[in-house]
Amino acid sequence: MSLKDTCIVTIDDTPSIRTFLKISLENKGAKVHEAANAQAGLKLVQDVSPDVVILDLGLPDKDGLDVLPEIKQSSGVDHTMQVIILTVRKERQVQETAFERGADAYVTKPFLMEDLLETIEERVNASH
Amino acid sequence: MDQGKQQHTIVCIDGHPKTMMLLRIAARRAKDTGCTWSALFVETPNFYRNDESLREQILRFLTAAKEMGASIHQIEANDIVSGVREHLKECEENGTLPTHMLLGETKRDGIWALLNPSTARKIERALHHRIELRTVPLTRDHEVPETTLASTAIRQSVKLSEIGYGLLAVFIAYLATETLRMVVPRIVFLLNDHNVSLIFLIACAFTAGRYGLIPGLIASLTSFFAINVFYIEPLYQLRLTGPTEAINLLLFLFAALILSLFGSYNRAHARAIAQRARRTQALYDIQTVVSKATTRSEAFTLLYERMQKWISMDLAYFLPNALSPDDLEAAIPEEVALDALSLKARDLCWQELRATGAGTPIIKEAAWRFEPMATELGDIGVLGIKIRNARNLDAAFGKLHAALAQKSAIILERLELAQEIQETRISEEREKLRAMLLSSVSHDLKTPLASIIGSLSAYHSMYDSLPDEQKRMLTATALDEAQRLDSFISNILDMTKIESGDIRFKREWCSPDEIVATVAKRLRQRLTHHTLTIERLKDRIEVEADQMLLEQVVQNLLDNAAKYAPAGTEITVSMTIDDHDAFTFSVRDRGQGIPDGEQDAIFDKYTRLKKTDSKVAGTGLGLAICKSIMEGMKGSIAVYNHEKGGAVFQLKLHNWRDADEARKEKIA
Repeated sequence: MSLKDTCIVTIDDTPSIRTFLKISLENKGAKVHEAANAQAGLKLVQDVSPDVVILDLGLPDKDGLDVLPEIKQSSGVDHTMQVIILTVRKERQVQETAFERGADAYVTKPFLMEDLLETIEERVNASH
Repeated sequence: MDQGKQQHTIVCIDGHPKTMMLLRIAARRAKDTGCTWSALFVETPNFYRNDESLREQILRFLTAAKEMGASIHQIEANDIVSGVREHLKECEENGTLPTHMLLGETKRDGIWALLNPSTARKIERALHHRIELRTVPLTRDHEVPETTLASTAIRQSVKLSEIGYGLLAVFIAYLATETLRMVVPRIVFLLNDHNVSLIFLIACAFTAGRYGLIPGLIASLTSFFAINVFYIEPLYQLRLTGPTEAINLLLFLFAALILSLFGSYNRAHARAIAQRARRTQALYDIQTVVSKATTRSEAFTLLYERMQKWISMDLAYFLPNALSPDDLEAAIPEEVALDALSLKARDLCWQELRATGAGTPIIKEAAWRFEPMATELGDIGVLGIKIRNARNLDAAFGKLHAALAQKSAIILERLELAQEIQETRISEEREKLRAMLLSSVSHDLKTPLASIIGSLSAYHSMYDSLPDEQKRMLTATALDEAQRLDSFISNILDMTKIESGDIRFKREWCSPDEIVATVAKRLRQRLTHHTLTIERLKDRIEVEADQMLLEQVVQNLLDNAAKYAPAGTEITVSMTIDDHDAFTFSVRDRGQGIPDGEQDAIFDKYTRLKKTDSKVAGTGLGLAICKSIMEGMKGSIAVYNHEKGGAVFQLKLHNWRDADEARKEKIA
């Protein structure tokens, strides 16, 4: 699979996670922008208008669930931006809330990189 | 009989020994017909001059009536009839008018019955139109004479000193008279029979009013003889010359007697009022105690001290033994000497939760009186009062004792409930924190695992397409995170061990230099973005500590510094001896420092949890463990902000030595 021409923003406060995500996604041809907290993440999304946002929930300044609606709102006229939640939290309640607020996919940590790539591919295809 | 009204019988209690029979009849009747009943005691001013046994008896009757299910009423009045009338009026206002009244009647015959009707008759005459009366004939066997003004006068108990004072008053009157006679010339004031008797009359009135009836009477008699001997012809003799003197003297005596009677009557009344006021005050003050006490033992002590003072009687609180709740033990005072009867009464009181002892129908010969302290929520204990002499006992006393017991019970219960609430709150808090800790730990374990699994799965699935440099990065990340995970797990295990007291601190001489070197090497990967500077001491120093644990602390500190310090900045490790001769190990970063006020909280394992953000994984436990370890080694750890920015963590250990000297000693 290829993620050529796909613009992805990753928002996660753990550096090592951002590292392997960037390596993997760029290896597949995507253009990756990183942010370490909700504030920076939101700004980044507004600036680059990515196709995919990978959002961690345990961010230092704000809960990912709270910034999710704002991120989704800056989706642009075509509303095709896909938001994939990436988190340690497994509770059903959290999942439901995430989807209510506009999440397009929910992946729990730890995960296999190939699985995440598959999910991204699915979402990208679905949005087109 | 009114159909719609609830039947209610009222029984008048007086000192007649057959009253018990009346009460039982009323109780039985109430039970059979399913109606309620009450007992009324009319307190007349006579009452306070009755003898002890009578007062005690009335108290017993009232207590017994209460136990048989009656509601107790007490009313003050000048005489019984008006008292009953007053009470009925009150009942009418409250809507609880009794429908029947039970009276005891002693037989009186003939003319005497007409001239001096019994109380029952009197009541009957006064109230028959308002209430259905039923008189129960009582036989004459152990008749107690009706309490009239005269009869009670003689039975009043008297103190010898009071009689002495009476005689003294008469003597002073005599002195006054003599002084007047000698000092004041005849022209101004003629001392004759009239003034003399008046002067002595003053003495009698004073004595009666101050000391009571008997001293008053004695003073009157003494004055009578004094006047006769010293002032009436023939002088110094008891004989009288004529009828005038005799009549005058008798008039004097009569006046003196009347004065004595009324004087003592007033005195009794005044004392009754004072006593009543004191008791009301006692009950009121207990409320104040309620608000002040914060612990059970404090409440007990306050209650005990207060009450001892007010009622000026020995009292004692008894509480159930913690191990065998059926047995009582003295709570305050800690040692109480109870005679066998009182002991029995006390235990019975606790078993059956009713008043026992002096002045009650149960074990009335005991020296103490006991009331149970019980509330709806439970039985708390027993309050005992030592009855010094039964003179202090009257109907109101039983009420007072019961009220004191009840108030004490409420206070103690309230305190216990407050404590329970506190404990529940604390354990709830603890549970909440524990849950938070668990979820935090779970998060902190999963995040490094996610990095490891993610990195390695990426390496594995994209092996062919990844450039070498990136392959290296992925494996380095995985390794790094695996180490972090290891460190984190160690922290948790150590924390558990420390908290359960399992950890044994070794005492060995170790080199701080070596420790820093080992840790720096171990954390090489994580410290790549920072510059590590180590400032050593001139001489080689050894500290007495547990080497492995000290390494762990140093590692935690360096790890933290690496996390918090921005990339590219310096981390400084320095070792010094401070002013108090303690070995000091410091780690300084150039990060943002610790917010004010949190320098202590940061070492608390729950600190990170209480804040909603989760800054960096693993810092929560790490510092808490450092603190536990340092304290376990009799050292210390603290943090402060460096004036030029950044946080400085400082370890201190007191046992250190010069390494070279030590080696020299060993060789030598």
